[in-house]
Amino acid sequence: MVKVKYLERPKLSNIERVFFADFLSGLKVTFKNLLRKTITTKYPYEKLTPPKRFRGTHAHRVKDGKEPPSFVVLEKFMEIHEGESRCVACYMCQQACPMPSLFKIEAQQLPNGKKRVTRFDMNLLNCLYCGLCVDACPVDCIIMTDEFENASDNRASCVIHMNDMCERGISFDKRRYNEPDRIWIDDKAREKLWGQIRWTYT
Amino acid sequence: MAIIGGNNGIILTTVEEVLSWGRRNSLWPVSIGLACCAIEMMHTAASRFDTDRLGIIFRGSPRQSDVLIVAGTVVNKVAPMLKLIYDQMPDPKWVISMGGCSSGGGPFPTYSTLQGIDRIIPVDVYVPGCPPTPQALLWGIHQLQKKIKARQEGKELEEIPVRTPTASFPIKS
Amino acid sequence: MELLAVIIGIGIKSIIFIIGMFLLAAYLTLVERKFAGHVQQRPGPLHVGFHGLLQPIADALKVLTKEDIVPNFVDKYLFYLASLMAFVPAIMILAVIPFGEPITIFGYEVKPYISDVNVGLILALAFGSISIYGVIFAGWASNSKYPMIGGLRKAAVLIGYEVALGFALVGPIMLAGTFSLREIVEAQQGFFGAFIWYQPLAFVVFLFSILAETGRTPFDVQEAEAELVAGYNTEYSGMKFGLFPLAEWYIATFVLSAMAVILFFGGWNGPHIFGAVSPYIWFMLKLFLVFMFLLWVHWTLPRYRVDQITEIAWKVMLPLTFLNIFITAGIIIIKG
Repeated sequence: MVKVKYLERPKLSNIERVFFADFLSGLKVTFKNLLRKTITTKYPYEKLTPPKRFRGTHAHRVKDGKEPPSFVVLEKFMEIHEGESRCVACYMCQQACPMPSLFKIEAQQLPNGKKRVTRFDMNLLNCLYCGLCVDACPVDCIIMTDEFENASDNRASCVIHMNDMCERGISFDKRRYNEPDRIWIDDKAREKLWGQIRWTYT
Repeated sequence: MAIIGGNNGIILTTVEEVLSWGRRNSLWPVSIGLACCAIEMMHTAASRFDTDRLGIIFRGSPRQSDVLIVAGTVVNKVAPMLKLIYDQMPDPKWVISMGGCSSGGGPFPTYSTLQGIDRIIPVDVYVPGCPPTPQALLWGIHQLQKKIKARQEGKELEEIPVRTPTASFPIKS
Repeated sequence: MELLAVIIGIGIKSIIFIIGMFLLAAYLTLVERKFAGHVQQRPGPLHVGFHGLLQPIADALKVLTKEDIVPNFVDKYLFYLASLMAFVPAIMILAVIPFGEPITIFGYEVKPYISDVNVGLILALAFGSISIYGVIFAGWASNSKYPMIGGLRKAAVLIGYEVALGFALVGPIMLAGTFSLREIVEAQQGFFGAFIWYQPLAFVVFLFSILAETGRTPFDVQEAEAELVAGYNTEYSGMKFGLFPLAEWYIATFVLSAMAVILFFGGWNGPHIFGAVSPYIWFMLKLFLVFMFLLWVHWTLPRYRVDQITEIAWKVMLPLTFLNIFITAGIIIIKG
């Protein structure tokens, strides 16, 4: 059984009631806050950089020599040139997604026997931004970038296509590929933030 | 300042510029906070990202407000009430559809969810995201302010060119 | 000829007072929003002008040019009349408030008040009581649930606090011996002559009555946003709506804190360190301090329930005022 502790409202003595003691201490708290600096980020004029793992708009990585080994295996079957998206049209992202109908992926077989992705559209209005598609991709193709400023006037521009996903991927990698994938700068900063890690076994 | 020429002359266009400046800098939303996006709207109004800097005060009643920010999933039972609230707002009025659910049904393609509020009311700005971060919502409000300014000058908001969903790469045979 | 000059003088002064009051009330909204923001560690309006100085103008422009919706089911005369009834009495109180000592401009002696009636205090109270009608009309005329509940709640609160206000003012009147506001200020000379040292109970009751009359938290039941959608002004839009908070929250608070300064803090008395206009400056300074204090209380406390508010009015405030009257009368009789 959970032990429940009952707290009573503190009773005020008569002196405190007559001279409004709790009211005045409330006023003091408010007054102290009045003199503090504001903590606002004044958005359109001061922008914060999101962390590297921020789950923003999706992008495709391109074939540039930094692919994982699984891509080398699949490359034999695909017609992908340097600078084009790494997608192998395996449909794993669509399978992993909680809302599969937002993906529209089509691929064609070329006369020389290889496969080529002709269409990869994602309807971002139906997306949950959960990141399961990123985890499921076998060739590290689909990633989530740190762009979130895509409010627009019409619904059609919230559907992203493979060419602008590739551009976004190229610019994201150019900006942030070499950043370490963590929020603290080094171990000293991490210890200051989170303290020393104590292991349970010695 | 004033645009010489056009059909209205100097005085009326200056008055209209001043009025549209007034309208874009003091937008008062009635907040239809239905689901998770409502929490993000509360975050936007709190101290970290303040909406009061831009002149936005959240009013309770639709008859006193300019903008309708629909935040959250709209189901079919709630849809007539949403239309009633939209009809009660005085002109000039705008609509911001916040989040995936109100813009396009979101992750719920069911029989009971309205797949986008633009089936019942006209929408001015769509803010995608699930939920959109407070900065994204502030960007959407900024887009609405730019749109009000552009409409007054007679132009449409410069739209991102619509890409028709054709094949992305030419097929070399 | 004399009559014409007097009428013209009063006419010019009235126009100056009314226009000045409008501008001042508009900028008081900015003061309140900045204050509320900094209490919550955020800036208030910041990007519209330089630190928000053009924000009240943008608000005013927008409210003036909104479409004016009159629903079909309302009581038409009362609907139109309600916003006027809330706004006009609040401005009328300005007619009896003196702002300083008479000064001479270009050889004419200018008195800084519109009229110095010798029952000025009773007139001010009477005008304040008329402004209750505005809220009740608004609540009744909008033929729907939430405004009616808001209006009736406010009526219940106001009845109690008007009585308490009237009795609380008897103390300073007994000490000064007159109803005229200018003579009450002249009866308080020096730093220790201000009536607040002699009438602390009356001051506390008066402060709470201001909070209740102007509808500020902790007593703002008529506009409780979480409970009643927007209270009694749900069905109003455009400038009719704009007049309600302007009249209640800003003009009435300003005018009633002016009365508090006159009755308890010594009006415009103060050391003459600013030259010839120093009575005006002292008056404005004290007025802004009282106004800031009311704002400070507004942004600190949560809201009371309606039955708690009326309980406080009749069971606590009224007996305190009676006690105050007895003590003051006793001391006056003893001291002769």
